[in-house]
Amino acid sequence: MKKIKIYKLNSGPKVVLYQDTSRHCALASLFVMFGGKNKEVIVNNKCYSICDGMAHFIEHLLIENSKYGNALVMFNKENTNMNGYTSRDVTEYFIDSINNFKSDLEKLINIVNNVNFSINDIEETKKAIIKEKMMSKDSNFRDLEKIDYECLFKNIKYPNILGEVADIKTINYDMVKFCYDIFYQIQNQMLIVSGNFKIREIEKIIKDVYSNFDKKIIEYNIPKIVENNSVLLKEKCIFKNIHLDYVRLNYKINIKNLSNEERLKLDFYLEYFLSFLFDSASKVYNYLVSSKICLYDIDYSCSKIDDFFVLKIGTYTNNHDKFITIINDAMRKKNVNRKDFERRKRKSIINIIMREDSLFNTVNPFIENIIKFNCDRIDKVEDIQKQSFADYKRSILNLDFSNMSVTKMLQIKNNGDFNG
Amino acid sequence: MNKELITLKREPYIIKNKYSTIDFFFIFPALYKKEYMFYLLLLKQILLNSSFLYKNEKLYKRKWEDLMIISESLTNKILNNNLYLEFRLTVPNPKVIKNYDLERAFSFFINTIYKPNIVGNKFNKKVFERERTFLKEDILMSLKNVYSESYQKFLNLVDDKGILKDNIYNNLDLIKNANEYELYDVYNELIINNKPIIMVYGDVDKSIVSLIKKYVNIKNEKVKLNIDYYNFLFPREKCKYVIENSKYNQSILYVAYKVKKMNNNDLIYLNLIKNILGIGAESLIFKTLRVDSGLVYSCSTWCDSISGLLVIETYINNNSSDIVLDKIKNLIDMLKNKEILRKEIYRVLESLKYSVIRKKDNKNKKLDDFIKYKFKFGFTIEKLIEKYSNLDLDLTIDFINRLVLDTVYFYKGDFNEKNKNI
Repeated sequence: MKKIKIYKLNSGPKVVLYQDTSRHCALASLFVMFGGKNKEVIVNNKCYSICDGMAHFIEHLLIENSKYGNALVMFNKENTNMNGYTSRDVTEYFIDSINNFKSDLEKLINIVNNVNFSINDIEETKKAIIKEKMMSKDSNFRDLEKIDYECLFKNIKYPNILGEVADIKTINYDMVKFCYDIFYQIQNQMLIVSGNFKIREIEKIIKDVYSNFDKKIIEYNIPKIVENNSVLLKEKCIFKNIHLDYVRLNYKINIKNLSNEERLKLDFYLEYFLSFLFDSASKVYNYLVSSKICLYDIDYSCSKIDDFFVLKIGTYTNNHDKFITIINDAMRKKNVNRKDFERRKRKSIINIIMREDSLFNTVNPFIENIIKFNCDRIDKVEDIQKQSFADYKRSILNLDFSNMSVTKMLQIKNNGDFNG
Repeated sequence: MNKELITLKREPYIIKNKYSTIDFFFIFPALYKKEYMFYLLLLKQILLNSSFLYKNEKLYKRKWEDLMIISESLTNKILNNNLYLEFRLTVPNPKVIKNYDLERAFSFFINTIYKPNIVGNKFNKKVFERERTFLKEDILMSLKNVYSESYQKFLNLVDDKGILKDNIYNNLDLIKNANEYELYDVYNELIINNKPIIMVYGDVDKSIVSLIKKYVNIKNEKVKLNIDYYNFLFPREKCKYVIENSKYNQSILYVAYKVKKMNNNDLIYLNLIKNILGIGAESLIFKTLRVDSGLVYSCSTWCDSISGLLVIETYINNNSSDIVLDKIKNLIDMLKNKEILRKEIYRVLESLKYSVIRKKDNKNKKLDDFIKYKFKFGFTIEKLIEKYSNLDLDLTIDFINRLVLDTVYFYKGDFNEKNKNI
């Protein structure tokens, strides 16, 4: 039996319950609306800056110094999987439980809300994060993403989620307490519970546990970021120890005037459009390969950054100019194809049906709809069936692909010279 | 000493479930030869990107999409002298997607396997050259990251018999010397002149067997396979310590143990020690190195059953290598204490019991365990529980006493050098 219930707890978090009694486990994700993008906050008409890495720092701090000790160890002793994750938009605390779900859920809510960290805990947390930073320094694509932001946006900054070593070192108790008190207010949280559980029991637990917290309410605002449609820089590159150059075209599309539902629909349409143009059966890809401009698949993706969709199309190639010209021409022609559209729709329908085979695969797109698009609903086959070619074509033709920047990751030659 | 016989059947194995997909497996068993190494990579690229009917990637992939194929793969499993080529097709369940033409998709899959892109007695030259160039670049590219570079260097140090290190990275000349004629010979040897073990995993009935038999000639007979999966590495007289500076930021410490007088019966102990040291946040290694002493951010334990190698891999600060190594040695010694060992076995057993429940919600894990069981690739979760529950503690301690520290490789990054005041 499957059942969905969405509600807002009085002066508390938004709660989403997805019950599926055919499962053998239950999952809970507690989201706090604080992520790498939060760089400033206004309290009492005063604007405070938040150092890079703060949201991620608090995630570590709460998990490793909870009232139960290190939460990872505590949960693992009970054979419950637990972890935390910080993204650009949110911090997520997650459990996957089999036997003790009710008490595990209670503990999860307490880990996030019933905290008591010390100056010493903060210093210890720094050590783990600096080690994590050391590992991430070898990730080439993280640096490429940074220059993507620098080219695309004037005012939206790269969400440096881990922060730099210098940022991490400056973090102190007062800064952490300040950010925690503001962003970890309970109305700034969302709890998603899924799997095999009894709805009434879980509702009661959530209500009871949250009623124990007496957090003071702090009014705050996030400074509004005004961003132009145009890109800030046309091109930027970085140099890395790689075997072939990597070139990426980034398109910036303003979706400010679209409703949440329209954004969600456009997300599907852009996936269809990019797949038609650039997947391994596409004319463009096959031309690029046969003319030896590239060897590898074309990577393409669509992501939502505030009021923009950003489309990224890239590949490994040493023939930069030809690649850029061909991709840009294909984008600007905006070719769409009815048969292909029907093919993509069928694929979307199959994907939705297949999600049912796994609880994670069912719940994750649901969470994405809620967090990314503010649409409190699960994708249904009927939604896809309703999509029409005329609407798809109109949507694509209405898009402006003129705001584009190019980022490149270029290989360093062995002698230390740059090649590119 | 290590050889064993397994008996399988030619008639398809049908494993029924209620998932929304159906999986077909064609598994070709063969004896492994070194000259196959690059050709196996080529076969995967060529067979899954074109066929006799669909001559190029564009036509092939478009047909693939039209048939609503969810995935198609070819994987090679090499276990010492044994090789398994596994073709897998995943398609929607016709009971879920109305009017889905299962037969057309299956026939496409059969053509992928048996009707490749050949011209006369060789593979299509153009396609061959394209895939050779792609693979060459891909192999060189894959070495340009700290994980694969350090791993490869570690294998070169730890493996004095050439069991693990004899891979494509150490045989790049095979790429240059390959040709489309020999590839065709290898294909004939491994596929055309061979017979597969067939499995179907999904919401199907007996009619699926008729469908398969329409396309493949299957006799009702048993198949006996000689398996020789293991070729153990034995400890050297003196541990090898190597420190190497790298151009990457992070530093990686590999600590490798080998087992004195290792034999097939020791595999369960090797697996147990790996699981005690390395399962999750409650594992001994994570608790000791991360939670209790903050020496690492990430650490893991893995073992290679074929060679009998136990490896602890940690990501550390440059000045921590000695202390991390000492702590690892102490952990191994600690397990020689009966009470501690008993407690640890109990903890791992509990964790495995939960894995059995989690497996019920996971289609691929169930499938993996079925194949593992049929081909004796390793222990299923249920088998591990049974074996661990009946382990003799004295024999387990005898095994731990035979674990010998063999190789310590420290791949030293420069992050700490650049940030000395941290």
